[in-house]
Amino acid sequence: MNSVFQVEDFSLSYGEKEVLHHISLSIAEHAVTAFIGPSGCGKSSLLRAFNRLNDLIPNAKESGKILYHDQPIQSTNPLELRSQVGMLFQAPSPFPMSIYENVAYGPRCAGKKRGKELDQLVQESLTEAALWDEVKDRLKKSGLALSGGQQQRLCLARALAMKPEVLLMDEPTSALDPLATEKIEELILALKEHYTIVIVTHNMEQAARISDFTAFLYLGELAEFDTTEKLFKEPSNPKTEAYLSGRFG
Amino acid sequence: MGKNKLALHPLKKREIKDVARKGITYISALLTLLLLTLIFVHIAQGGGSLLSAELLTSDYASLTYTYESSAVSSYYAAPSASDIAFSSAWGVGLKDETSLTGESVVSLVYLAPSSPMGKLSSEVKVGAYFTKAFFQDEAGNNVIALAKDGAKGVIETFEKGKTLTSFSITTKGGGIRASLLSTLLVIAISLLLSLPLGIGSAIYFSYFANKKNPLVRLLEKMIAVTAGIPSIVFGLIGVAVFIPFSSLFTGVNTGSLLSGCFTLVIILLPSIVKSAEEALDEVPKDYRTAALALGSSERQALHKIILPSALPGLLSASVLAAGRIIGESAALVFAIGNVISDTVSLSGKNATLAVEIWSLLAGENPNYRLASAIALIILIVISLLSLAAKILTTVFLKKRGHV
Repeated sequence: MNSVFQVEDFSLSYGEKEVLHHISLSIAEHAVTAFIGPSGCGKSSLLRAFNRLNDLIPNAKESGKILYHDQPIQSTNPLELRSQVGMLFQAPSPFPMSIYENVAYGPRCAGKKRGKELDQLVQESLTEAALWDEVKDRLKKSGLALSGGQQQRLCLARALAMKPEVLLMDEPTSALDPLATEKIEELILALKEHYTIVIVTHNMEQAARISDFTAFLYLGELAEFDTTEKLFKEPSNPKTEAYLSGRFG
Repeated sequence: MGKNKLALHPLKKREIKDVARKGITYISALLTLLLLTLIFVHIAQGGGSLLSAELLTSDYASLTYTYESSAVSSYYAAPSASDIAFSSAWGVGLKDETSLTGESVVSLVYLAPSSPMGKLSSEVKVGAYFTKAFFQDEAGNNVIALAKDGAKGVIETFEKGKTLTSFSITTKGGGIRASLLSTLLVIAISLLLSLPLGIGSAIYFSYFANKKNPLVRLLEKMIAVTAGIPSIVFGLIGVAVFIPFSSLFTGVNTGSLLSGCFTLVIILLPSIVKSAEEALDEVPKDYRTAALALGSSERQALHKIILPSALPGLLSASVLAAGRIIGESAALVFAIGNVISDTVSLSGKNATLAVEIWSLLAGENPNYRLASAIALIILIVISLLSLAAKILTTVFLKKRGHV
């Protein structure tokens, strides 16, 4: 299987504190890779390294390499990288504008803003995020008027409108109820046909249900990385086994 | 069982304390509201009767014209209006009235078409105020009619007069057109200069400045301190710095509307920076992260998401600033001056409404009624401005599809 991202000996520190130590792993194309681990293990920080969102933190310092299709991301233009690598956050964060404008925001910023073409793109993205049927009659209404689950799918549509290759998801269902969670999980399984997905989750069952590969991070180190099936059934690291069986976390 | 019995008494000591605290809150809120209402009623009672479209649109200056004459009396038919004092010998109808500034005057309300007074000058017209007239009676003695005799007394003297020797009239005056326009002009220019500067630095402090940098923290502290400096101190700075500075543009060496605007910009900047920063800080930080994660640049995130989201707060900061401009008198007495004139220009020294109130009350005969009327106008202008900001916000949010 082709890899999209190749992480090589990657470390990250905020000021004096190193939060990720010498991580090496690869993200497979058109598959779901899950990052699990106890709070503060650095899984979100690792996720944010893929689209260089850590650049926004003034004292963040990186060492080692992350390759995106064999190109070190540190040397790419972050704006272009982020339009290839979309992201979904923990709390749904639609912009305070209409549903249509929310989805059109990214393409507009990238300079793609012809009327009919944009309408088409908005419809496609909303359909792909399984939201079109629910909102097609109220595209001009505020995105904030939607329910939590709908808001998260709107954010997904917003990311999809950029036609990215990779989708990063930072605990995308932790603020949602079980039904909305199920819907997002179904979407993830459908989306992996066309997209490479990296998801951070607190929920081990979720990782087991939807991911193909799982990385278990512990105290900033990659404790174990394998296919989900193998990692859950016969973990090779005793810490993984302890975490999975609920002895800490 | 008996040990865990619940207390039946409804109020415990700590609950009584809560009630007392609540009571104090209500009482102080009520007191404030009561005071505000009283102030409003007081101003409205004092100045409400003076408020008229004429007050807003007419000139302040009132000029007295005196004309020499040698006209002789004749007979003129009385007009149909009966509540005026009429002189059939001269064809002049007078009436006791109150001027725009609240003084009692004798107003010229009727002028017969062929009256000799009307032929003196075009200034002698209905609406002008009678001042004084000199006549010679049949015996050749001088008789004088003065405005302080009242309309009836003046007409009695008129009827005695056989030959007119001199006639004085005063134009109406007392209007606040120029002060109102000056105030609006000062608001517009000051906001135009201070809002971009203030919001610009608020954006820097809220988004780009590293709050841990001691220099940035010092700057923020200094801005907060500057916001508390009394405006009269800035008035002195206006005299020392901005009058010479604005004379570069106006060519005038004294205070002008422009030097007043510059002074106001300095007064307003700290509070605009602070309130704009608060408005920007209220925009969830998630918006910025989410926008950047979509591949937009910092500038795009700022212009398309953050500033529009902060717009309601920024607009109310602007209205507050406008309110401070309208109410500012101390600094402007120095930086512009308290001359009330009728020509409005940036290089002219024309009192704003608040300065006019100040000079109306500072003179030897304080004109309390006109001051109240102007205060009322100030209140109305402020209300209109906040209403406009409110409407603007609603329209904008509707247009963006966020209601």
